[in-house]
Amino acid sequence: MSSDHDQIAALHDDVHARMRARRSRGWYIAFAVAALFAIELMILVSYTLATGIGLWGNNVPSAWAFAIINFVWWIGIGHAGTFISAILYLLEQSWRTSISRLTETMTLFAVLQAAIFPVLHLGRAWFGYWLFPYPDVMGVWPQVKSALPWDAAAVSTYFLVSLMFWFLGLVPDFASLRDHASTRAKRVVFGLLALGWTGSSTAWRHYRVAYLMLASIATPLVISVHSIVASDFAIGLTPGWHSTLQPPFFVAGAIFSGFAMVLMIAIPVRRVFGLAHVITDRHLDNCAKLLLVTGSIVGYGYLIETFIAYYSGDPADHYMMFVARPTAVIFWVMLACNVVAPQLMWWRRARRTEWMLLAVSVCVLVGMWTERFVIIVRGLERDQLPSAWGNYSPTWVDLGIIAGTLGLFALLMMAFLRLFPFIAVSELQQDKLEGKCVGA
Amino acid sequence: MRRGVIAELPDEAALLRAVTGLRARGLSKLEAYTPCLIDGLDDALGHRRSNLAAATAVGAVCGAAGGYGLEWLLNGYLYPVQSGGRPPHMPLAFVPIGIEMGFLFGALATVIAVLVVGKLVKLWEPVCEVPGFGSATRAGMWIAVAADDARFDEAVIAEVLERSGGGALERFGDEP
Repeated sequence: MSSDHDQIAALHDDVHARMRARRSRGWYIAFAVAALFAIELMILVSYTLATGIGLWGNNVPSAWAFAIINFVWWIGIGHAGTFISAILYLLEQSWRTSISRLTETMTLFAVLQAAIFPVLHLGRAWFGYWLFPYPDVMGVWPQVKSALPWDAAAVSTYFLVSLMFWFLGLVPDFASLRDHASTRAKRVVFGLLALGWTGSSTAWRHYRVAYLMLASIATPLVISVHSIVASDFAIGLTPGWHSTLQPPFFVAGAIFSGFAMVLMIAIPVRRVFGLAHVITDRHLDNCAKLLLVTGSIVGYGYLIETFIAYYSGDPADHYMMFVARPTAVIFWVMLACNVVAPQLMWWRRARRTEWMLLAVSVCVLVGMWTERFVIIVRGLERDQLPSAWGNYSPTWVDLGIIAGTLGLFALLMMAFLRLFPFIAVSELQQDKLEGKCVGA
Repeated sequence: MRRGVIAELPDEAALLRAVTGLRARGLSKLEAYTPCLIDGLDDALGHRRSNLAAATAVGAVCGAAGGYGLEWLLNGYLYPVQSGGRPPHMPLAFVPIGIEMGFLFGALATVIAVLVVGKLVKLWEPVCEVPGFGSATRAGMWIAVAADDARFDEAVIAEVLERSGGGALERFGDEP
């Protein structure tokens, strides 16, 4: 057998062996902690459903608070996954292959967390289906001139397209797991998931184009989803919201926080599974560079919105930018985390040092959450009419729900890592044969 | 492929040589089985580029037009609400959902099309019974020739595959 054959066989066997290896005690402890937080989330969601959202801290004037902050934050995190799997695919960036499956999965699970919030925020979540047009005897239809149905359409589309893209990419790897399964049960389950994939040239011929088409759809979709979420704000008259800057600003911020989460996932995965030869220093370096680029766009956005507040002469915007925001500690936390911390990424050694990357990623995730807090809550607390001003503070239920979604997200990611092929082996093999692979 | 012969090749270069050799002998009902996409294989097999993109385009256009049309039906015709001076039929506000529906139905059409034309959701094929065929999803490169090919001749196929470095020829599928 030739060396190419040996190399792709070795690559296949190596990745499969690492996926099947027994996990350490630390893994099970982390899994148990994530499960506890997920259970806590279920309890708090049930409590909210049974009692009502009066349990939360949001009230007029801050009718939008934690729920929408968390929704925007989680949706944003998903964006880097689609960016890596679709946009970098179309740009023929072969380094993406090693981490594309992980990031696509991250997208799906992040969108699931995001969806929890607007549905609960409806108040009567069991009527959530009213957002979709269905023939009913009342003859009352969704009002599509409102931003809420836009969000429902954008987020459901994003989730479903991401799911299709993710599943289609998994099919060849499911087939490989079916053919090399250790038990009959696994063979049956993976056999069903593999849809009868044999790797025939007929299937590959259409698969290649289907994958390209889905990537072509996912690329504008990733831009459109956060643009629509940003339009929820842009169409409102609240100070700090009513600006055409919002869509590009939100998209850049979304990819920024998404890359931070990619690093938060990729670094432990390569450590735990011993995959430093597949998810290499170059992958971390590239993600860190993209963190720097998108962070710079976000910093530029802050500059422009401050300038527009000054230049427009609008008193409410002026007050928001030059008085209300600078007097809040959270505003300075946002600037430190989103503008100052990523500057470390100019330094090559920082881009290749795991703990520094993790520290900057945590900063960025915190920073992007505080950014949404500053935009949403500060704008509502200090609206045009001083007589309507009021301060907001979250309740323990608010804090418990966001912590719970972090736990559920970690739980889902760990379950995926345990049960499914989290490295796109067939794509890596193709890159290897074409001499493009930077990883293995 | 219901019936025919199949053999494993040592690598992708040998597979391409075998395909070229078989086609030079007039055989056309060929199917290769590989663990990943092989550059140049479609050309060697004489496959045209898949026109699956047409399904995507039809799905996307129908989705976007249908989504916009539904918005008009709901808010412009069945339940018009005059609010904030906005007309019942308001193109600017109808665009976001229209675009999203274009994406959604374009993707749905693509997935349905690849399942149908790629002959997926067929959980078993006679070729799966060939001993060692599971290597096609690991690193193995296989080439199969259909028995109903007008130029089918086992001796010729065996000779071409042997010259390409292929393994022993295996029969699959029931005898007619």
